[in-house]
Amino acid sequence: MKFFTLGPIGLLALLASSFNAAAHADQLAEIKTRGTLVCGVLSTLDPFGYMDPESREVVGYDVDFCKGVAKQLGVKPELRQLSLDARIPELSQGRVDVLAAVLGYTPARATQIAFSDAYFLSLQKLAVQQDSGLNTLADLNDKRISSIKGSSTQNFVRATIPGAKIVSYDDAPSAFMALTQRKVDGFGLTEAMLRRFIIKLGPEATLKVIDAPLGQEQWGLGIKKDEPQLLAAVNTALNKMEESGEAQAIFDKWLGKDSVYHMERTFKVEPIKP
Amino acid sequence: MPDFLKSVLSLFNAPYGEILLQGCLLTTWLTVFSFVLAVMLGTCLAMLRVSGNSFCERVVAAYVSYQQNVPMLVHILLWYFGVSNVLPIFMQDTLNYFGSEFIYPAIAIGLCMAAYYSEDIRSGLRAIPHGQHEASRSLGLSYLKSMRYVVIPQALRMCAPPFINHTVLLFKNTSLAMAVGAAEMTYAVRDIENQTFLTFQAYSIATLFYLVVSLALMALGSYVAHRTRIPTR
Repeated sequence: MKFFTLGPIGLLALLASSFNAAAHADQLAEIKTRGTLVCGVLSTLDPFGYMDPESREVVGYDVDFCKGVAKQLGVKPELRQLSLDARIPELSQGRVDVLAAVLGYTPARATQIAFSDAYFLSLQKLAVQQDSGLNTLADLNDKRISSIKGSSTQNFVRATIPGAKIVSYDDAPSAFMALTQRKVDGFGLTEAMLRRFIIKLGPEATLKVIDAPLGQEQWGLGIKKDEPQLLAAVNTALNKMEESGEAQAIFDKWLGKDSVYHMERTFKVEPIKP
Repeated sequence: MPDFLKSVLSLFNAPYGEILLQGCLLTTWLTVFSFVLAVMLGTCLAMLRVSGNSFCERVVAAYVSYQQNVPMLVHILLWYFGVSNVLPIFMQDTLNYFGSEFIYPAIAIGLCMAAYYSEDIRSGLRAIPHGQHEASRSLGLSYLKSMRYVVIPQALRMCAPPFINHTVLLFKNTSLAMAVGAAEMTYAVRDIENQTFLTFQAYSIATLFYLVVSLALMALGSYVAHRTRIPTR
């Protein structure tokens, strides 16, 4: 009896562990022999990773960093579109080599995957309706705030506005639409993307961004745990991109003065401080 | 293996136990609300479908094929982001206050499953020989009364098996409401998975939950069907 109930489960566990073992060869060597670096990117978060309507290709800040790293490694980049909440499992199961997918550092994530040096510093902010009378974060204490499933915004909201109710959606456009339709009182996201959404609404936008940030986080490229060679190679690549000015150029192209965001680059590629 | 069980059990402790409980409750409410809506509307639709009025019959047939041929998720998104937008502002505000993530999906699921139920009940109605209806009319019962006391009680018994199947389907389909942020069971489990990264464990809990409740619904349905069946000679 016991055999019949535990047998199949045991077999599954055995299978799962053998998969892990099989994938344990040196990933960097594997990438070099394969000749491609498989990057997990997002396709719905303008300007970090989104589908360019003209070229029908995924482009963005994250995508350019992925391409830059691939160039430094001397291989071709291969983009794979992921959903925000499935990106970490996709990486740990080895379906992608590197995650360039608005991946903010959190201690919980760091137990699952390894982070490269930071390539972006993100301030998370809240957008609200202009006529809502909500001006500070504290005003939203018993209000409803939308966010994306599996994003770090949820943790920031829990920490800074403990009384708020979080309503999570599958992707950023849905969560943003919930705010424009007044289904929620606030919407939390990385500032650049937040402003991008408001700009897209055009002159009729009735939204404003609350100045005080919910929190800030450093973004790194995600790499599978226990792949020290690959991690070191990616870090070297990122630092070379910083030295050559390529990192600055990517920032200017997507977020800098000439873009719609007019943001200043206040950070450099550097190791993440936990 | 004990480690696996231990980590599964750890998900029932604070703070995750609370999330699971809330998810379980919301799934239950979604199921109950949309079930009541679907059964009431489904019965009305089925009666219109066999009423003999060709206009009513066509309208119902069109409604049924619309509901059955559009994916449930599309219905939910249409209600949540679309229909909600054309309502008057004060109604929108009231609904948002009471939790639009619950109400719109519940309506969408209820309306969609009503189409399935109406077909089930119609098949039951068609299984009752027309002579029964004629006999009750000749005894002096009105159309509605002969439906109410003679035809429908028998028809409902006939359609129990597909009715039970579709109730299980309705229960499982409530998981689609997570797309619009309703924190039902699947949403809760995904949320916990995102916080703890105990993927296998979290989804095992959801699997077990849906399996147990679905089987219980089926058992309850066949028990009721068995208890209310008309004894045959």
